[in-house]
Amino acid sequence: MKKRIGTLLLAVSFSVTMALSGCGSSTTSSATSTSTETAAVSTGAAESTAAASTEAGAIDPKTLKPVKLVFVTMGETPKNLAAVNEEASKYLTEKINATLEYRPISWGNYANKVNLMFASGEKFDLMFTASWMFEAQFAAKKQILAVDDLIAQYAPDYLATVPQDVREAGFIGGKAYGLTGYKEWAADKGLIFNKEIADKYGISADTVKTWSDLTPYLEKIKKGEPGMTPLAARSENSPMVQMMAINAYDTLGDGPGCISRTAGDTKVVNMFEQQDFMDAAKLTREWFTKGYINKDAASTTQMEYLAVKAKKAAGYGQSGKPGIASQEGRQCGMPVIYIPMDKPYMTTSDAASAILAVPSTANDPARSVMFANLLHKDKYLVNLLNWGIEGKDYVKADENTIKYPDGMTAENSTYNLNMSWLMGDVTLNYLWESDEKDIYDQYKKFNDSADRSAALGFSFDPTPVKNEVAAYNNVIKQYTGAIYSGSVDPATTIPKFNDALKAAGMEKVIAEKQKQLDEFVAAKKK
Amino acid sequence: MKNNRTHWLIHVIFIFCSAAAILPVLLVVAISFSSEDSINKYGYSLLPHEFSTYAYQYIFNDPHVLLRAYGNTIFATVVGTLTCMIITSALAYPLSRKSMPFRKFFTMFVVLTILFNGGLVPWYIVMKNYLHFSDNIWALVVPGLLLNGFNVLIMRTFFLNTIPGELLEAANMDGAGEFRIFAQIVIPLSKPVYATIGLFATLAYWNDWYNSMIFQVNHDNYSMQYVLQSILLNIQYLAQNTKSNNMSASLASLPQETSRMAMAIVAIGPIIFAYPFFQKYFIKGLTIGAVKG
Repeated sequence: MKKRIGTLLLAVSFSVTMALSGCGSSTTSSATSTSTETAAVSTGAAESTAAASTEAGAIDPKTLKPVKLVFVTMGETPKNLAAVNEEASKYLTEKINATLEYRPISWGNYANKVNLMFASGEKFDLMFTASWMFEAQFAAKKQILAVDDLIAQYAPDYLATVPQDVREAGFIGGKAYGLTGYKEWAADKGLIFNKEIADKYGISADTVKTWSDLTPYLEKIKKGEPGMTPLAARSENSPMVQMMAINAYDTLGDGPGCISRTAGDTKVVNMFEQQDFMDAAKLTREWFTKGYINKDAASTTQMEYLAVKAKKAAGYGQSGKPGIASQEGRQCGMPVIYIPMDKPYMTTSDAASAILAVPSTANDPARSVMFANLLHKDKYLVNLLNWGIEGKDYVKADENTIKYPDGMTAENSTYNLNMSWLMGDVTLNYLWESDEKDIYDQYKKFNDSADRSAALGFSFDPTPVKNEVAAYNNVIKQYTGAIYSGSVDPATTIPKFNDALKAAGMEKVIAEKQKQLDEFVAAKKK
Repeated sequence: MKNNRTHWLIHVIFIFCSAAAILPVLLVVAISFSSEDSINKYGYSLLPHEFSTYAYQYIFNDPHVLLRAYGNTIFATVVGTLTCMIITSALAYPLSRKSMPFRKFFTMFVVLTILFNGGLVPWYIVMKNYLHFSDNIWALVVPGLLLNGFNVLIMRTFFLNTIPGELLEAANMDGAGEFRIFAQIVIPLSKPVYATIGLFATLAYWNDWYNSMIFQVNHDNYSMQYVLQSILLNIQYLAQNTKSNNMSASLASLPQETSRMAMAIVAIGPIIFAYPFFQKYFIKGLTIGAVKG
């Protein structure tokens, strides 16, 4: 009997261990299924600091309780992060009596990790989100807080730098869930060309105004440069993708249904049935059959700039913004030119592409907003977080330009976070020696000149038509790569494609989108 | 004569099989030592067009981080594997004894954990908030990997089928207690199954990046696979989403293809030496556990 109890004890203790260690075949379910009931909604934490402010923006740190702010974004962890956190904490203690723990999470894991932090009720105070980083989902689950009042009270510099229509583009259900970063809020479409080739054949923004202007030049390149394809393309990024899906239509989020930029109204249509889509497809087809586009465009995954770098191609379609030519030039390893084909276009996803939101588990939401506001105001703080400590991680070349200290390069740098585009106001950053000097003026001009989409600020909630959207996406995967790369004849394929879309329930989604958009427009007019 | 021909045929077949296994590895080595430019221009090839160690320089750019992660992984693998073997066998052995009360119940208990689990979030909350396996080295050892129901069943079947009940009875007659029987009779007779489970556990620990992703905050505690994975993800992400204006000049020189292969080589590292060590027992352990003798 004694022995039996001995073996029993062994078994009990170890089965308990096993249950605790999670066991199973460790096939962990994906983080998207995270339930979020546990995310505590903070209640009235704002009160603690409410007393501190007398008027908007004037903050007396002495009246504030000390607090530690945990700030998470995507990014690589730089070597000197601890030193920068320490420095920033010292600085912020003087400003808003807070210390900072900035915590970059590697790119691919950001969404997973943040979901887990919410699920376990972990305390953090400021986080990155965007229309493409589940802002609507976070807001719907009440994981991030609506902060309109706090912004009005504590973020005057933010209100001064970011115009109202852009701020509103990031709203969910009419409420602000964070502070939109100042960066480029629009995109234009165009082409990148190897500068040497472009100069040789006379391609420039003056000679090429429309896509069809390009055809004779492509022919010359084809004849004159053996071994080189005039244009490099992939199914996700061919010149036609830039022409249509990014520029001529606002795709209004997930699923079918777009509004036409030229029409300027809010009628939701199927892009693939429109005449301009057919025209663009025919032009692409012509280029493809004449060999102006690489033959494997529908299936290749090689990035276009690699083809240009290897001198296998002369150019490619590219979504543009200020400084795009120097950025792409660095990737291609040679000077390139950018030929814009249209004015910039601002849609919800462009305008709301970088937002700093306050999680519901924040210690003190008011302080989070104050900190986020400093990122729109405080040159020292922004540069500290992005580029590290002056004299150690970078040195000044002149007043507004910085470079690495002697002996340091991008490869062995001690702090190069390089996340200025999500860190408040990008124009507060020092420029690197390789940057164009007037880049921030270009930003302003670019943003000011952008056409606003008629649906700017609208974000589509696909939940009621989830199944149809999924079916639609499957059809899209099947057809668009071939059409965008010109590998099939559009005259016969596009009607077939549209039939398949209709069979997948496209019309139901368009009707739903139209309904939501109408509601949005009506609410906006009020 | 005929015999000779068959010999040749077998040789040829096995040369092909071996080549199919070895050539890809050689290709990976070759690519990792090529320059990124030559890969873009000429594609993959078994002999590097332009020899370069840049990919390795890039990965070991900050050797402190990777070496530290290597150390973490080795620690987790050694400690984890030993602990895993001890507790797996300590659970499997009683389950193999017919005299144990509630044996069926506990076996079901083990089987259920193979079929069902609590899901990611509850698991995460228990590990992090209640057991505090977070941001320390034990988060690489304990959660998820320490005990696996499938391994327990393999071991149990092994004990059940290869260790005769008469032997245990005889030992009992001679005055040995349960613990002594287990330590001095059962364990020495069960080397093959220990080697098998040990190999499974070693591989699981060595290849684990998931625990680091979920539980670790400070990168001093990352496992090697996770560090490699995040280098890779960051390269990919930077290459595809150049949203930043200030993207530094380094982007042009990111060794995308070659560093991927260099990482594979680095990750193969010492673990490859574990195989010959376990090989001797490996097949025996698996088959003996599977077939009732």
